[in-house]
Amino acid sequence: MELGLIAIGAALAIGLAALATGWSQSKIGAAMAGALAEKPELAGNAIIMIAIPETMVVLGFVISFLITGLKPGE
Amino acid sequence: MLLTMSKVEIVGVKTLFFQVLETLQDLGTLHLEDITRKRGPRYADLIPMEMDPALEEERNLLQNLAMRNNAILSELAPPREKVGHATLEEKYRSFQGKTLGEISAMVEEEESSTRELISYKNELEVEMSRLSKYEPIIKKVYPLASKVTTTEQYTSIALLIEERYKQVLDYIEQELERITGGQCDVFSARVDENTHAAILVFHKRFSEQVHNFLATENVNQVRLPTELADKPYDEALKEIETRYKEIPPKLKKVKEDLEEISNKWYATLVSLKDYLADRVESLDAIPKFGQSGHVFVITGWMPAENVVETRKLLEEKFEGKVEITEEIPTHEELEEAPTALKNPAAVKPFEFIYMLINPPKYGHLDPTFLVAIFFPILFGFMLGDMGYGLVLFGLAMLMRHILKKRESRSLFFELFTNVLLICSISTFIFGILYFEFFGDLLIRLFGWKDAAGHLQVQWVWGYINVNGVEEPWGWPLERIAQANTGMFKLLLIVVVCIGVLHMGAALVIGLIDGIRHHDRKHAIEKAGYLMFILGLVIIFGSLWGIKSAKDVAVPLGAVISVVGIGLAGYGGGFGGGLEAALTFGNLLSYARLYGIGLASVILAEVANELGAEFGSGLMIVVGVIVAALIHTLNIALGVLSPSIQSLRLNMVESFTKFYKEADVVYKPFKRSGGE
Repeated sequence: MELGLIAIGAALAIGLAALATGWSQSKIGAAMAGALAEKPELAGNAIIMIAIPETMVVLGFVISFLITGLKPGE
Repeated sequence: MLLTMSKVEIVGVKTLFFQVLETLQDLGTLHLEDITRKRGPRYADLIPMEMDPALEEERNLLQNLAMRNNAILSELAPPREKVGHATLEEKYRSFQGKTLGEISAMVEEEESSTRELISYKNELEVEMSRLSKYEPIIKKVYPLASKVTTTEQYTSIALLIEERYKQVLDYIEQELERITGGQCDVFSARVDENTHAAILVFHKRFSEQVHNFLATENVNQVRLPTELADKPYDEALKEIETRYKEIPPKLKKVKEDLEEISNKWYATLVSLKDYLADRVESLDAIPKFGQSGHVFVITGWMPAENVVETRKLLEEKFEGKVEITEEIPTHEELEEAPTALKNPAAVKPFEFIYMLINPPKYGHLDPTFLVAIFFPILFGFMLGDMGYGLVLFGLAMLMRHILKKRESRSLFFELFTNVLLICSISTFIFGILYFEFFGDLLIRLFGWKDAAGHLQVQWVWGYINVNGVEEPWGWPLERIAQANTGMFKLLLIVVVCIGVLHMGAALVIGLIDGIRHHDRKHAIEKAGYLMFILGLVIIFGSLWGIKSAKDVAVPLGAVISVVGIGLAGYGGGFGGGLEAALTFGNLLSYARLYGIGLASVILAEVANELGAEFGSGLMIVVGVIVAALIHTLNIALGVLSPSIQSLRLNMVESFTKFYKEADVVYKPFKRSGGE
């Protein structure tokens, strides 16, 4: 039972973070694509902007990894 | 570092204006300023220079010549023997002594000797491409056409119809009989898997109606080249084949002739292209200059180290009739000073960051050295693998070789290759620290994993207390460490320390900038951020490290942090105070170094695990291929993700603390060849 909860916890940690990152990257990506059509010189900023929400999924992954390391009863 | 710039004013006798302009373009160090935008008593008596009709005409002629010259150049392949820089320079100099009439005559001579050959070559190429399109169509129709005989009063049309639409032929036959009153015949046969060919034979007087019908129904006819339209298909095919064979030798001969011309003219044409572009550019600069009755005035900025040399040259060349003076710039003028970078070879590749943002504003510190230190560290920390390091090193060397061979002048690729080379070395060094070679290949080989799959420390450097247990740490550092192990704690401390150093260095630059520019509030704000971080270091240092000092260190750290927030608030307002508090989040953001690294090493181990699953015998080969494919994917991701994350940390976590972008970037007036 506890092992199952650990697995669900880990899945939620990475899954929700990935969804949030994907959603925000889609918004930023669409906005930056529009901006790039007008100002191609913003390409560098676009890459950085799109990379910013990745923090969420990276940290989600770390948390998920840490959760999977837990042992039932700890 | 940023070059120190001098604001200069060049004044000379008007009759020497064009010679001075040419000399300045040759020197290529002066960043021109638009004198017409200058205000104040110094410039009140100056009249802006204008392009008079004669100069406009000269400019148009130069542009026309450049266009014609470029048209010839685009048709000529570069000679096999590379043209040296010295030859090009010599040719360029020779144009400087020529009049426009002489240059114009030269372009005409080039045109006359190449025009006919180029046009003949183009005709042959068009003909060849045209015939190559007809040949397969005729070949399809020919077997059927050879069976059909027509008389002078009858004509024929060939059709190619896709197999799936062949029933349309019945409809065409019915309509043809109706139009011609039965004076027609239709022959059809399948010529290949997907095509049916049909020949419609009918009396010539119905020709117009039949063509109209086919056009209305959108039926594609096989059309022969106009000159062969009246010939029977067998003759047409033979003629096409004969002509098709004749073209290559003719084309070869023309190309040889053009190659001979290229050997003779190429260097001249290339130099002339550059010369004409530079002349146009120098004429375009004229409206930026000022004049009075007898003198011209040119203002701009040049690196301070070049002023003496320029003065000496102008004095020698124009015997004191042209003078260059260094001005003391006003505060407003300093705001418009251009930024020029000059970094040592090891730091220079990291100037690539200025392809994403403008270089720093003149008078501020250049952070390229900071990027040069931290970018490879952040990259290597994330990717760290000896095998991947070697692959990236090989890739960077290969790219360098290719760029050198192709004589590439792409600044982007040059900088990218050098950055990749440096990062491959840091990846290798961190790989040694983690003892990773394509993941855990070596660790498997040496059997350094315990029963639970954890890497055993081979060289103990110290102990970390985890829940009352002293755990050893040392070499190799295990990256796949769980939350309840000392190694995890250690790696987390390391990434936060990297963050402290990275952000701390940026804040120190900001502080120095504030002091240098007498911007008290800016300096206090940065000092506040630094104090906040220092307070955090004291608190966490006592909690994780020197626990005996905890009772004193925690309250002391808290006081320093709160004072830091207060100072940041005083220096930067409410935003400054808030930003200081958020610095804690910025520091935690460096945990991405651990996260990305973890993803990379897990994928590498998955590759090895999957490869090993294939067992023994011949299946080993399949296992190696599978592992190699996943490692390739990991390397590709490993270059992309750490690069973007390193960039992000540099630009978001570090640069935002101090960076001011330049409004004006140093663009010297020089011989650029129009590029």
